[in-house]
Parts: sequence; structure tokens; C-alpha cells
Amino acid sequence: MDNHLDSCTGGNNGIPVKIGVFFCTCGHMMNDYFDVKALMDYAAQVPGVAFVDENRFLCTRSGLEWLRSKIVRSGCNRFVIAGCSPHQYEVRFMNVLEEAGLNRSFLTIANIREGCAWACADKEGCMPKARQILSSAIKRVALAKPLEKVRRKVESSALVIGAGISGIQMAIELHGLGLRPILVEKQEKVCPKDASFMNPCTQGAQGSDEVFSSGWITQKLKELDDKKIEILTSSQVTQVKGGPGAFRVTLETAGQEKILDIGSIVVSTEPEKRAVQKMTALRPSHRIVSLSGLSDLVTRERRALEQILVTADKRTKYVCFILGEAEGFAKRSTVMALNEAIALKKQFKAEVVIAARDIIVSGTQIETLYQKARQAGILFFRSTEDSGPTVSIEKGVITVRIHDPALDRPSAKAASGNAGVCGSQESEGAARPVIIHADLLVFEDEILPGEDTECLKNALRVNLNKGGFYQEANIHLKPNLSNKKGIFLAGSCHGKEETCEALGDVRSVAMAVYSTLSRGYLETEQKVVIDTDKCALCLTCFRSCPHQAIEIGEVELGQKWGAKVIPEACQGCGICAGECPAKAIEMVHYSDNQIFSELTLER
Amino acid sequence: MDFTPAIVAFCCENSAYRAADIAGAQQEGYPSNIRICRLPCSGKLEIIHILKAFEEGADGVFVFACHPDSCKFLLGNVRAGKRIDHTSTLLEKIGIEKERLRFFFLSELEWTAFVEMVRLGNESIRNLGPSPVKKEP
Amino acid sequence: MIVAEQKDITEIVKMIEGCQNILVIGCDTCVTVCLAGGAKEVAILASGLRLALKVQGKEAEVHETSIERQCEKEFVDALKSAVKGHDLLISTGCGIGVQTIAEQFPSLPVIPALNTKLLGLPEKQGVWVERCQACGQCILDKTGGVCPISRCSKSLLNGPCGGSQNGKCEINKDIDCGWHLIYERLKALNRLESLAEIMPVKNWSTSRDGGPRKVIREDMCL
Repeated sequence: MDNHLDSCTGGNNGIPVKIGVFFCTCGHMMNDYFDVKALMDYAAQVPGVAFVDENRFLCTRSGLEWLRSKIVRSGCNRFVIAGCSPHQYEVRFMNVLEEAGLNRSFLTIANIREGCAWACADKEGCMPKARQILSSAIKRVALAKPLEKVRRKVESSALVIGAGISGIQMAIELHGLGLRPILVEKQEKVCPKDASFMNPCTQGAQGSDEVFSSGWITQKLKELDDKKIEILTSSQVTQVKGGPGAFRVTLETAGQEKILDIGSIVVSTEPEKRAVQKMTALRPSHRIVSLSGLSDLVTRERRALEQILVTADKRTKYVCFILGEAEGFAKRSTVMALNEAIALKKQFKAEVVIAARDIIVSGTQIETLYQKARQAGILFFRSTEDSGPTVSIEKGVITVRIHDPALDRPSAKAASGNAGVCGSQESEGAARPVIIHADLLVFEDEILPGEDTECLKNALRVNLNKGGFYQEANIHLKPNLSNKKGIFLAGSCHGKEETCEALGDVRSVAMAVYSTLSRGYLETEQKVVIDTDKCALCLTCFRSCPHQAIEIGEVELGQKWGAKVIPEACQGCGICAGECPAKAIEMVHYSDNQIFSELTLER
Repeated sequence: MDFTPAIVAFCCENSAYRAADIAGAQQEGYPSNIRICRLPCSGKLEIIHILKAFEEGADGVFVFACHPDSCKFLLGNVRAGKRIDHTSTLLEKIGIEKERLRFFFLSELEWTAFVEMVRLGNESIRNLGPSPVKKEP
Repeated sequence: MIVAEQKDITEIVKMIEGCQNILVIGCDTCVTVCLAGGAKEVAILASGLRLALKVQGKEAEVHETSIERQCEKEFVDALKSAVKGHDLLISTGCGIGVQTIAEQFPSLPVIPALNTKLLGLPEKQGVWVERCQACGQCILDKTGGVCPISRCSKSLLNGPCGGSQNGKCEINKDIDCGWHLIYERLKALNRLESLAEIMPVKNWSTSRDGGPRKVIREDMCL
């Protein structure tokens, strides 16, 4: 209360606070709940209040016009609007204040509609509650400090980390949008790690124009060349400072340190692959391969594949895919396996069996691909988590036993009577495994975060999720943004499974980067201010900011060190203000005094 | 018992504040003695805010945060939870029942749950009686 | 950095019994950085004490303030006007701060709100570990930059005691064996041969054993 009076009597830089209170009666509806006139009288006698008025519909165009003229004419410098919830029109009213030449922070909404009139279980409690809401809003607004706006020039360059499929496409898209992409690659040459990453969506199956093959890469590399896109090979990002629009990135390029000023950063690194545990547990054999190994065989060592699948005796060959042994990335495995299975069936007339926990078809055209596989005569069996397929090797014969729960039913007995793929005679009980003597056994790959993820994460100061991939700011609302504004995620570095999805990702990231950088400047509210004199440099805020929006360094060039907020990166949660042991950090619109002023109880 | 407790509810504006709004818009009444204090995130809530509320005569303080793993700011609810734990211990040592400080997880759409929590919470504070801070010397 | 930890509030409540006008004084240096006695903690402690007093039905006022460094007489002297009218001072500084205040305000009782724990660093946010015991005779050059006085539970000078297992101390499995760390560090530096050198018996008179110590820098004395 004292604080409030202080500011009313000139505590605010010597200028006395004059508060204008406007009531919106929501078309006289408010009168059904309480006596608005009495509330207005109550407001008028609160110290600091200089002007009180009402309107039927403040939110309408004419209402806003009325508000603007009243704001100007009342001569007040702080305003309370008593009406509906701040979530309805707070922003609109703040804009009116701004248009009237006042700071948008000098407004507080007294939520007497949703928060009081409509919510009070008891009629008698309604009026006192409205009074109390009103008085805290008045006290609160008296303590308001201006929210300063910061305008900063932004760089038009974007750093794309990782020249995989997503990275290359990213650079090309950004270049097309008139930005200046710089592609960073850890290796000596730009060449996507593994052709199998390209393979999943072949033309036809996906109905897409883009053909993912080595031809695609050649064409894209040429495009990079033609457009003169800057590429830094043998380079790694070692340190990133600053915020959106103005990152200062330190790179190690071929042993040399290089510093770049960058507008936005896009992470598009590629994941690693590892054989699933079930596969590594088996004795190595050229007849047991991973999905990516199979792609290698198809594209590079066709003869080896022919030796396995084509023999003089014309016996039907069996290929068995086992899916569902690795965590996550099931869609990617599904697409890859379906593609390969169809190809093997067509080219080698082999009998192809896919044993999977789940066939995931939730993606562009994957359902069609699955139907195509079925029409081609590929056999599908379902395995369950507790009874996955078992593999044994005896005298060079690979035997796979699949326990499909669908085949447990007696009516299904006849269904498994295919030669080579036969119902078991071994067990009489409920479980009747399907036995396959596979000539070629294919396991899916386990997809892991890239080996440098940890290193890059530390340089960028962004979060990883539980699986070790980059974590999105919000999987639903900001699926392409890392926890730090200005650093975007594209492709499989944050778990996008297959190429089509990754490329869709690239497009949306390109648009997001464009919208950040295209204007040439960024204007942000300084939601959090740090009092450098109070700052004890304890690093608490630096460590606890979830968006890495706080930096430690010279507050102004050549001055002493302190913590400083990067307004462009700050999202306004106030965690830093809550943590600061020296009370040096204040959230402008939620200062301690403002919160305290809301706690005083009317007696 | 003829006692209406004074209760301060700190609400994250991304979840519970909206839930309270919806509850209001649905004309689903909740006790009028609940005073809602809007926060940008539960992570903004400090220990001193809770203590000050008790100093100002609150009989109970409710804190509403977003569900685990769904904080808009990633960590706000986690930080709030830790501070609440710390404050509970402190309150108990001071001689204020720790049941007077309640911590809830809520999402924007769970307005019925909000009403339920507030009603039950209000009942439990009513049963506890006036805050020991308000004892006449 | 000096690391301290706040006392249990019940203990402080007992110490302030009978006092009417209390001033809680924070320190903006070490104890702020170790999150024990900065402006934030002072506010919480003052508020907590006010509540505790009210719960006990006692009337007393608790005020709060904070100064740059409690271990400097000049800064403490600046409190003179703030201290007026109070019958008890609570310091949330380290032991040094409490004593400076006691020396500067001889007529007022001053009580500590913190337990001063150690000289160390934050291992991570919220966890502090000991690194120095102020023994007055630094030998870190001989031990690869790892202090055997503070990091070996027994402050041994010539290798481990024999009780360590898997690099952990026999006192507690959570404590690293200081000598294991020294060995690993010297191995990495390729300087293991320096361990062959026998360190003479330490002169503990420079440490606490010689009674209260003093540092004099003659040329700086005015």
C-alpha cells in the first residue's frame, strides 16, 4: 500500500501518477451482477484515481475510438480497464495506449467479468470481490514501469550446420528467399553420409516430383555451386554468442578460427546408425544385413546380392525383414523396408516376408506404398513385444520363428500353409510360430543422434530431448525452434523420420528464418531488466534461463562485467527474476512490488 | 463454521488463469474468496511472494502450474515445484501448517478441475481455520 | 569463495526471543553468490521471522537491509543510521561479517543467520564443494593442482592412506579420493615421477595450529 501511495504522490520520477479507470459494462450485462455505478464511485475515491468513466462496449471499433479520445483528454498517465479477462482484449487496449502516445505497460485490466461477475458462486461475494479486484488493479498500475522497446539491425545471413539432405536443401531454399546461407560441414567434402538416407521415398511410391537417388545429390550439389552458396567444409561450430538476428559464431575451419556474424542458425545435422542389438547378438554373416547395409548392396555391390538371391537351382529364395526392434524411427524403417521389399520381389522374384511390430503409414503416400507391397505378394506378419521373432543359425541355415498373434486363432491355421513359410509342427499349444528359412535376413537400423551432437549442443547452448536429439521449444506450437530463439531445427536432427517429412521441415524452417530476418531489423520489448549495480555475477540466471537469453560479459563496451538479457531471445517467463539472489533482475510488467500490491487484503 | 478464508491463488497465465476464465465464462461458480494473482509463468513465483501473502493475512495460498513437461518455458513448473517444496518446509518450521500452501498442476482446458480444486482447497482451508498468523497478540 | 548455508529458521527464532526491533543485514558478496544471504534470502528470512513471531503471538518488528561487503568496516559503518532504534542485529553474512558488525556496533547484540561452511566452488548450480582449507602454505605446484589438504579426508601429504577403493574415499563413497585425483592428474601431465619425492612433515603453524593468523603487507600499510 505504501508503495502505491509513494508512486501516486510523485514517486514516479517526480511526475504524480494520475490514474484513469474505464468500465466496460459489456452491453449493460455487468449491471445484472453488481452495481457498476457504486463500483465507479468506489474507484473514484481510491488515491491516485483522477478520472472514471464507463462505456457499453469498449471492445468495438467505436468503443476503442471513444477510449482513445478519453485517454488523451483525461490527462491521466496510467489506466485501468475494468471489464473482461485480459486474455480477451488486453493487447488491443494496449495498442490504443500506444497510439495515444503512452507506454503499453501503463495499463492493467481488472478482470471483473470472467474473474468475478461470472465466477462468483455467491451473489453477495460478487461486489466485494469486484472492489478488491479493482483496487489491486489500481495499485498495480500505479507501480507500472514502462516497457522499453529495443530495435536491432539483423544480419541477413543464416548458418546451416550440417550439409546432409536437409542442410543442402535448406541452403538452396534460403538462397531462393534472398537470404545469405552459409553451409557448414564437419567433413572435408559435402556428400550426404549415406545413400540410404535418400532412399526411402522413391518416385512413384511417394508421388513426388523429386527422385531421391544419387542423381538428386549431384543435381543439388551443382545447384549449390551455381548459386555460389558459401560452403565451409572441415568446419565445426565452437561457440555461439548473441541472440536472434545477431549471433556471433566462432568456427574452427581447417584448424583456423573464424568468427562470423549470423542472423539465424539452422541445425540440420544427420543422425548416426547402429545395428540393433538383436542383430549384433548373431554370428556375423553376409546373409544378415541391416536396412542401410541392404541399400549398399543394392546400389554398390549388386553382384554380392545376386550371389545370395540367384542360384542355378532356381529354388525360391526367401528374404525376411525384421522391424520393430529399435526404439523410435519406426516410420522411416517401414518406408525403407517396403521400398526394398518391393524392389527385391520384382527384381529377384524372391519370396519376401516382413515381420513387424507395427507398420506405420501415417505419412505422404505410405499407405499406397504398403498396398503396393501387398499387391506384389509380400507377406506381412505381426510380432509382439513379448514374443518378437527369434532367429537361429544352424549349419549356415538362418531360421526365423515369428509368433503372429493373429495366427493363434484356430481359423487361421490354414492361412500359413505356404511352402517354406509353414505352420509349425513343433508346438501344439496356442503359440504356433511361423518358420522361415531365410536366405537373406534384414534388420532395421537403430537411429542415434549424431556423434557430435553433445559437442554442438554445448556450443549452441540448446537442449536435447530424452533420446539425445535436439529438443523443440514446443512440439506443437514451435516444432522447428530450439529452446533458444533464432536457432532452428530441420530434419532428422530432431527426430524427423523420413526424407519427405524432413524436406517439409526444411520449407517451414526457411519461412521462419525468412520472417525473422527479412525486415532487416527486429523490434522487441525489454521484458526483463537487470540492475548491473546489484548484480553479484553469481551466474544463477545464466544457468537457469531455459532459453539461454542471458549472457555474462561487459554490460556496455569497456564497462564492468554483469549479466545482461538478450531481449530478442527472452521469452518473458521470469524464471531469472525468481532465481536472482541479489534481486537485481526485475520483470517489468510483474515487478515484486506489483505482485505484493495484489496481495494486500481488504479488511 | 462461520469462517471465510482468504485465499490467494497464483495462476500461470498460460494455463490456470485461462482455466479460471473459462470456468467463469461457463458460469461455473467458485468461491468468491479466492483471489487470483496472474503470473507470466509459475516459474516467476518466488518464495517471498508466498510468505508475503501469509503476512498480508492469507489463510491459504494455492499455486497453479502447468503439467510436468508442458511448461511453455520448459522449466517454469519444475522451478515452481522446487520452490514450493522449500517453502512448505519453511512454513512448517515457522509454525504455519504446510497444508495451507497447495500446489496444483493444471492445463488450460481443465476448467472443471480448476473449480473442483479450488472448491476442495477452500473447504480444506476452512477446516484448518484462520491462519495462525492472524492470532491476536 | 566463502560458502555458507542458512541456519534452520527455528534456531534463529529462538535466538531472537525477547527482542522487539530486529534488523536483518544481508551481504552482497560471497553469500549472495552462494545463494545463502543475499537480498533475496534476507527478504525471505525477515518475512519468515515476522510470520514466526506473529504465530507465537509476539509483537516485534523485523526490518531488512543489505550492504556491499560485511567484512569491511567502512561498509558496515554506513549502516549506522539504519541500525538506529534496533535492539538486535541478524547478519546473513559469513562469520567474518557477523564479527565485523559486532566490532562496529559494540552496544548491540548481533546473531548469525548462517553457518559458514567452506572455501570452495559450485560443482553445479546449488551444490558447493570444498577446495581449500587456508592452510597458509600452498603446495598445489607439487600435486598437479589438486589440494591434498582439502580433498584428502586425512589431509595426507605422501600418497593415499590405503583405504580408498575405485577412486573413492573410505570415509564416504561419494567423496573422491584426493590422492587418486592427484595421481590421475599427474599421469595425464606425464609427471608421475614427482610423486617419488617425499614431502617433509608439514609445518601446520601457518594453519590454524599457530593460533589466529595475520597477513601484513608492509608497503601497503598507511
